[in-house]
Amino acid sequence: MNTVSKKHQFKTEPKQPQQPLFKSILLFITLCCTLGLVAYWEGADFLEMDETGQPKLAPPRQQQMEERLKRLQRCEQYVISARISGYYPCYNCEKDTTIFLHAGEVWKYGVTIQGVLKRYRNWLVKNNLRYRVQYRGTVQDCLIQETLKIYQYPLLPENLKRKPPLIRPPGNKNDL
Amino acid sequence: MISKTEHMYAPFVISSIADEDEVGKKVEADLLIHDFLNQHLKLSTYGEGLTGIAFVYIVTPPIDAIHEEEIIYSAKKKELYIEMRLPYEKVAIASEAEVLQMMAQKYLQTFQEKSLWKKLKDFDCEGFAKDVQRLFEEQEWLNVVELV
Repeated sequence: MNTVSKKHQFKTEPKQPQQPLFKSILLFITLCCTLGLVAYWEGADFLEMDETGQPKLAPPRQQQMEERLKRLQRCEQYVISARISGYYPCYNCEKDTTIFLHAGEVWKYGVTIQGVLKRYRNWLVKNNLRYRVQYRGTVQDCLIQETLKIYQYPLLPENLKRKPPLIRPPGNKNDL
Repeated sequence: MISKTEHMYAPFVISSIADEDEVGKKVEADLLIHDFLNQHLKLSTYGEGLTGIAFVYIVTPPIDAIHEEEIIYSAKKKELYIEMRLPYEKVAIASEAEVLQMMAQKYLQTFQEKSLWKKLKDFDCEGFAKDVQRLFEEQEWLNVVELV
Protein backbone atom coordinates (compact mmCIF):
# COMPACT_ATOMS: atom_id res chain seq x y z
CA MET A 1 0.00 0.00 0.00
CA ASN A 2 1.36 3.04 -1.04
CA THR A 3 1.33 5.74 1.36
CA VAL A 4 1.59 9.18 0.31
CA SER A 5 3.37 11.32 2.68
CA LYS A 6 2.18 14.70 2.77
CA LYS A 7 4.71 17.30 2.71
CA HIS A 8 4.78 19.14 5.90
CA GLN A 9 3.66 22.53 5.27
CA PHE A 10 5.08 25.33 7.32
CA LYS A 11 2.83 28.10 7.82
CA THR A 12 4.52 31.32 8.15
CA GLU A 13 2.90 34.19 9.86
CA PRO A 14 2.33 37.14 7.70
CA LYS A 15 5.05 39.69 8.09
CA GLN A 16 4.13 42.46 10.45
CA PRO A 17 4.99 45.91 9.23
CA GLN A 18 8.14 46.99 11.19
CA GLN A 19 8.25 50.54 10.02
CA PRO A 20 6.64 52.18 13.07
CA LEU A 21 8.95 50.33 15.51
CA PHE A 22 12.03 51.18 13.47
CA LYS A 23 10.97 54.78 13.38
CA SER A 24 10.42 54.83 17.12
CA ILE A 25 13.86 53.40 17.79
CA LEU A 26 15.45 55.89 15.43
CA LEU A 27 13.58 58.72 17.05
CA PHE A 28 14.64 57.51 20.50
CA ILE A 29 18.30 57.30 19.47
CA THR A 30 18.16 60.77 17.92
CA LEU A 31 16.55 62.15 21.04
CA CYS A 32 19.19 60.51 23.23
CA CYS A 33 21.99 61.90 21.04
CA THR A 34 20.55 65.40 21.16
CA LEU A 35 20.04 65.27 24.90
CA GLY A 36 23.52 63.82 25.30
CA LEU A 37 25.00 66.59 23.18
CA VAL A 38 23.08 69.25 25.07
CA ALA A 39 24.28 67.74 28.36
CA TYR A 40 27.83 67.54 26.98
CA TRP A 41 27.73 71.17 25.88
CA GLU A 42 26.16 72.42 29.08
CA GLY A 43 28.35 75.31 30.18
CA ALA A 44 29.97 75.43 26.76
CA ASP A 45 28.35 78.70 25.77
CA PHE A 46 30.85 79.04 22.94
CA LEU A 47 28.97 76.42 20.91
CA GLU A 48 25.59 76.50 19.23
CA MET A 49 23.61 74.43 16.70
CA ASP A 50 22.88 75.89 13.32
CA GLU A 51 19.54 75.35 11.54
CA THR A 52 20.72 72.04 10.07
CA GLY A 53 21.75 70.68 13.45
CA GLN A 54 25.45 71.16 12.86
CA PRO A 55 27.58 72.62 15.64
CA LYS A 56 28.92 76.14 15.13
CA LEU A 57 30.72 78.78 17.18
CA ALA A 58 28.46 81.02 19.23
CA PRO A 59 28.35 84.60 17.84
CA PRO A 60 30.38 86.16 20.70
CA ARG A 61 33.10 83.54 20.24
CA GLN A 62 33.05 84.04 16.47
CA GLN A 63 33.38 87.79 16.99
CA GLN A 64 36.27 87.24 19.40
CA MET A 65 38.07 85.21 16.75
CA GLU A 66 37.51 87.86 14.07
CA GLU A 67 38.74 90.63 16.36
CA ARG A 68 41.82 88.61 17.24
CA LEU A 69 42.55 88.09 13.53
CA LYS A 70 42.20 91.84 12.96
CA ARG A 71 44.55 92.61 15.82
CA LEU A 72 47.15 90.29 14.36
CA GLN A 73 47.18 92.59 11.34
CA ARG A 74 47.77 95.73 13.40
CA CYS A 75 50.71 95.06 15.58
CA GLU A 76 53.33 97.46 16.87
CA GLN A 77 56.97 97.09 17.79
CA TYR A 78 58.03 99.38 20.61
CA VAL A 79 61.03 100.45 22.61
CA ILE A 80 60.91 101.16 26.33
CA SER A 81 63.67 103.47 27.47
CA ALA A 82 64.84 105.22 30.62
CA ARG A 83 63.10 108.56 31.24
CA ILE A 84 65.75 109.76 33.64
CA SER A 85 69.23 108.54 34.49
CA GLY A 86 69.21 105.94 37.24
CA TYR A 87 69.14 102.26 38.11
CA TYR A 88 66.75 99.91 36.35
CA PRO A 89 66.09 96.15 36.53
CA CYS A 90 68.49 94.05 34.46
CA TYR A 91 67.88 90.48 33.38
CA ASN A 92 71.13 90.12 31.44
CA CYS A 93 73.71 91.51 33.82
CA GLU A 94 75.02 88.21 35.18
CA LYS A 95 75.06 88.57 38.97
CA ASP A 96 73.78 92.14 39.04
CA THR A 97 70.06 92.62 39.09
CA THR A 98 70.17 96.30 38.22
CA ILE A 99 71.93 98.48 35.69
CA PHE A 100 72.57 102.22 35.47
CA LEU A 101 70.92 103.70 32.40
CA HIS A 102 71.31 107.25 31.19
CA ALA A 103 68.12 109.05 30.17
CA GLY A 104 67.00 107.81 26.77
CA GLU A 105 68.92 104.53 26.85
CA VAL A 106 67.09 101.38 25.80
CA TRP A 107 65.67 99.11 28.47
CA LYS A 108 63.57 96.77 26.35
CA TYR A 109 62.25 96.06 22.86
CA GLY A 110 58.87 94.44 22.47
CA VAL A 111 55.86 93.70 20.34
CA THR A 112 52.18 94.07 21.20
CA ILE A 113 48.76 93.67 19.63
CA GLN A 114 46.92 94.35 22.86
CA GLY A 115 44.69 97.29 23.56
CA VAL A 116 43.25 96.95 27.01
CA LEU A 117 45.09 95.08 29.79
CA LYS A 118 48.37 96.12 28.30
CA ARG A 119 51.61 94.50 29.21
CA TYR A 120 53.53 97.77 29.28
CA ARG A 121 51.29 99.50 31.80
CA ASN A 122 53.05 98.06 34.84
CA TRP A 123 56.50 98.92 33.54
CA LEU A 124 55.53 102.53 32.96
CA VAL A 125 53.90 103.15 36.31
CA LYS A 126 56.25 101.03 38.43
CA ASN A 127 59.47 102.28 36.88
CA ASN A 128 60.45 105.54 35.30
CA LEU A 129 60.25 104.34 31.72
CA ARG A 130 59.06 105.75 28.42
CA TYR A 131 57.13 103.90 25.66
CA ARG A 132 57.78 104.73 22.02
CA VAL A 133 56.43 103.02 18.91
CA GLN A 134 59.14 102.17 16.37
CA TYR A 135 57.18 100.20 13.78
CA ARG A 136 53.59 99.25 12.85
CA GLY A 137 52.53 96.31 10.70
CA THR A 138 51.52 92.67 10.85
CA VAL A 139 52.66 90.47 13.73
CA GLN A 140 55.19 88.81 11.48
CA ASP A 141 56.67 92.13 10.36
CA CYS A 142 56.80 93.39 13.94
CA LEU A 143 58.52 90.21 15.13
CA ILE A 144 61.13 90.67 12.40
CA GLN A 145 61.73 94.25 13.53
CA GLU A 146 61.95 93.18 17.16
CA THR A 147 64.44 90.43 16.30
CA LEU A 148 66.61 92.89 14.37
CA LYS A 149 66.57 95.37 17.24
CA ILE A 150 67.33 92.82 19.95
CA TYR A 151 70.15 91.10 18.05
CA GLN A 152 71.69 94.38 16.95
CA TYR A 153 71.45 95.93 20.41
CA PRO A 154 75.04 94.88 21.36
CA LEU A 155 76.30 97.15 18.56
CA LEU A 156 74.70 100.31 19.97
CA PRO A 157 77.25 102.83 21.28
CA GLU A 158 75.46 102.94 24.63
CA ASN A 159 76.17 99.22 25.01
CA LEU A 160 79.66 99.10 23.49
CA LYS A 161 80.97 101.42 26.19
CA ARG A 162 79.96 98.92 28.90
CA LYS A 163 82.39 96.39 30.30
CA PRO A 164 81.28 93.75 29.57
CA PRO A 165 78.63 94.71 26.99
CA LEU A 166 75.20 93.12 27.24
CA ILE A 167 74.05 90.50 24.77
CA ARG A 168 70.55 92.00 24.69
CA PRO A 169 68.72 94.97 26.29
CA PRO A 170 68.48 94.90 30.10
CA GLY A 171 64.71 94.39 30.08
CA ASN A 172 64.59 91.59 27.51
CA LYS A 173 64.79 88.27 29.34
CA ASN A 174 65.12 86.31 26.10
CA ASP A 175 65.97 86.96 22.49
CA LEU A 176 62.27 86.61 21.71
CA MET B 1 63.88 104.21 40.93
CA ILE B 2 63.16 100.50 40.94
CA SER B 3 59.88 99.60 42.51
CA LYS B 4 59.78 96.10 43.97
CA THR B 5 56.20 96.58 45.07
CA GLU B 6 53.05 96.41 43.03
CA HIS B 7 52.54 100.14 43.42
CA MET B 8 53.42 103.21 41.41
CA TYR B 9 56.90 104.62 41.90
CA ALA B 10 55.54 108.10 42.66
CA PRO B 11 52.17 109.49 43.77
CA PHE B 12 51.86 111.31 40.43
CA VAL B 13 53.10 109.41 37.41
CA ILE B 14 52.91 111.27 34.12
CA SER B 15 54.07 109.46 31.01
CA SER B 16 53.31 109.21 27.32
CA ILE B 17 52.84 106.77 24.49
CA ALA B 18 54.05 108.17 21.19
CA ASP B 19 55.98 107.34 18.07
CA GLU B 20 59.73 107.63 18.05
CA ASP B 21 59.69 110.81 15.99
CA GLU B 22 59.55 114.60 16.41
CA VAL B 23 56.13 114.39 18.05
CA GLY B 24 57.51 111.84 20.49
CA LYS B 25 60.27 114.25 21.42
CA LYS B 26 57.80 117.08 21.98
CA VAL B 27 55.73 115.11 24.48
CA GLU B 28 58.77 114.45 26.62
CA ALA B 29 57.40 117.51 28.39
CA ASP B 30 55.40 114.98 30.40
CA LEU B 31 58.41 114.85 32.73
CA LEU B 32 57.92 118.54 33.63
CA ILE B 33 54.34 117.98 34.71
CA HIS B 34 55.38 114.81 36.53
CA ASP B 35 58.02 116.61 38.59
CA PHE B 36 55.84 119.66 39.13
CA LEU B 37 52.85 117.76 40.54
CA ASN B 38 55.02 115.60 42.80
CA GLN B 39 56.71 118.72 44.16
CA HIS B 40 53.57 120.75 44.79
CA LEU B 41 50.75 118.37 45.68
CA LYS B 42 50.10 115.63 48.21
CA LEU B 43 47.33 113.16 47.48
CA SER B 44 46.59 112.69 51.17
CA THR B 45 45.32 116.28 51.25
CA TYR B 46 42.27 115.16 49.31
CA GLY B 47 41.37 112.05 51.31
CA GLU B 48 42.48 108.49 51.75
CA GLY B 49 40.99 107.20 48.51
CA LEU B 50 44.03 107.50 46.29
CA THR B 51 47.73 106.83 46.80
CA GLY B 52 48.69 107.01 43.14
CA ILE B 53 47.51 108.65 39.92
CA ALA B 54 49.08 107.63 36.64
CA PHE B 55 48.26 109.79 33.66
CA VAL B 56 49.50 108.61 30.28
CA TYR B 57 49.13 110.76 27.15
CA ILE B 58 48.52 108.92 23.89
CA VAL B 59 49.95 110.94 21.03
CA THR B 60 49.99 108.55 18.09
CA PRO B 61 48.94 108.99 14.45
CA PRO B 62 45.37 108.05 13.41
CA ILE B 63 46.62 104.71 12.06
CA ASP B 64 47.11 103.56 15.65
CA ALA B 65 44.30 101.16 16.51
CA ILE B 66 45.89 99.71 19.64
CA HIS B 67 45.93 102.49 22.21
CA GLU B 68 42.61 103.80 23.44
CA GLU B 69 41.52 106.28 26.06
CA GLU B 70 40.63 104.61 29.33
CA ILE B 71 40.23 105.21 33.02
CA ILE B 72 40.91 102.37 35.42
CA TYR B 73 40.32 102.83 39.11
CA SER B 74 41.40 100.27 41.64
CA ALA B 75 39.70 100.92 44.98
CA LYS B 76 41.73 98.06 46.48
CA LYS B 77 45.10 99.47 45.46
CA LYS B 78 43.83 103.05 45.75
CA GLU B 79 45.27 103.81 42.34
CA LEU B 80 43.91 105.58 39.32
CA TYR B 81 45.26 104.85 35.84
CA ILE B 82 44.25 107.20 33.02
CA GLU B 83 45.14 107.16 29.34
CA MET B 84 44.03 110.22 27.36
CA ARG B 85 44.65 111.11 23.76
CA LEU B 86 46.06 114.38 22.44
CA PRO B 87 45.40 115.23 18.79
CA TYR B 88 48.46 114.05 16.88
CA GLU B 89 48.15 116.58 14.06
CA LYS B 90 47.89 119.52 16.43
CA VAL B 91 50.86 118.36 18.48
CA ALA B 92 52.85 117.89 15.29
CA ILE B 93 52.55 121.58 14.37
CA ALA B 94 52.64 123.01 17.90
CA SER B 95 55.69 124.47 19.59
CA GLU B 96 57.12 122.74 22.67
CA ALA B 97 55.59 125.38 24.92
CA GLU B 98 52.18 124.87 23.31
CA VAL B 99 52.47 121.09 23.70
CA LEU B 100 53.13 121.56 27.40
CA GLN B 101 50.03 123.73 27.62
CA MET B 102 47.97 121.13 25.78
CA MET B 103 49.13 118.46 28.16
CA ALA B 104 48.37 120.56 31.23
CA GLN B 105 44.97 121.47 29.86
CA LYS B 106 44.09 117.84 29.12
CA TYR B 107 45.14 116.81 32.60
CA LEU B 108 42.94 119.45 34.19
CA GLN B 109 39.96 118.76 31.91
CA THR B 110 40.06 115.08 32.83
CA PHE B 111 39.82 115.82 36.54
CA GLN B 112 37.09 118.42 36.03
CA GLU B 113 34.80 115.72 34.60
CA LYS B 114 32.07 115.04 37.11
CA SER B 115 31.65 111.50 35.83
CA LEU B 116 35.12 110.81 37.20
CA TRP B 117 34.27 112.34 40.56
CA LYS B 118 31.49 109.79 41.02
CA LYS B 119 33.81 106.87 40.42
CA LEU B 120 36.35 107.78 43.06
CA LYS B 121 35.67 106.93 46.66
CA ASP B 122 36.98 109.05 49.53
CA PHE B 123 38.81 111.47 47.28
CA ASP B 124 38.00 115.18 46.91
CA CYS B 125 38.28 115.33 43.16
CA GLU B 126 36.75 118.81 42.95
CA GLY B 127 39.26 120.24 45.43
CA PHE B 128 42.09 118.48 43.62
CA ALA B 129 40.99 119.89 40.25
CA LYS B 130 40.81 123.41 41.71
CA ASP B 131 44.32 123.15 43.13
CA VAL B 132 45.68 121.77 39.87
CA GLN B 133 44.02 124.62 37.98
CA ARG B 134 45.49 127.23 40.33
CA LEU B 135 49.00 125.73 40.06
CA PHE B 136 48.85 125.37 36.29
CA GLU B 137 47.59 128.94 35.93
CA GLU B 138 50.50 130.18 38.02
CA GLN B 139 52.81 128.39 35.58
CA GLU B 140 50.87 129.94 32.65
CA TRP B 141 50.20 126.45 31.33
CA LEU B 142 46.52 127.11 30.66
CA ASN B 143 46.92 130.05 28.32
CA VAL B 144 46.13 128.27 25.08
CA VAL B 145 42.53 127.14 25.27
CA GLU B 146 41.83 126.20 21.68
CA LEU B 147 44.47 123.52 21.31
CA VAL B 148 42.83 120.50 22.93
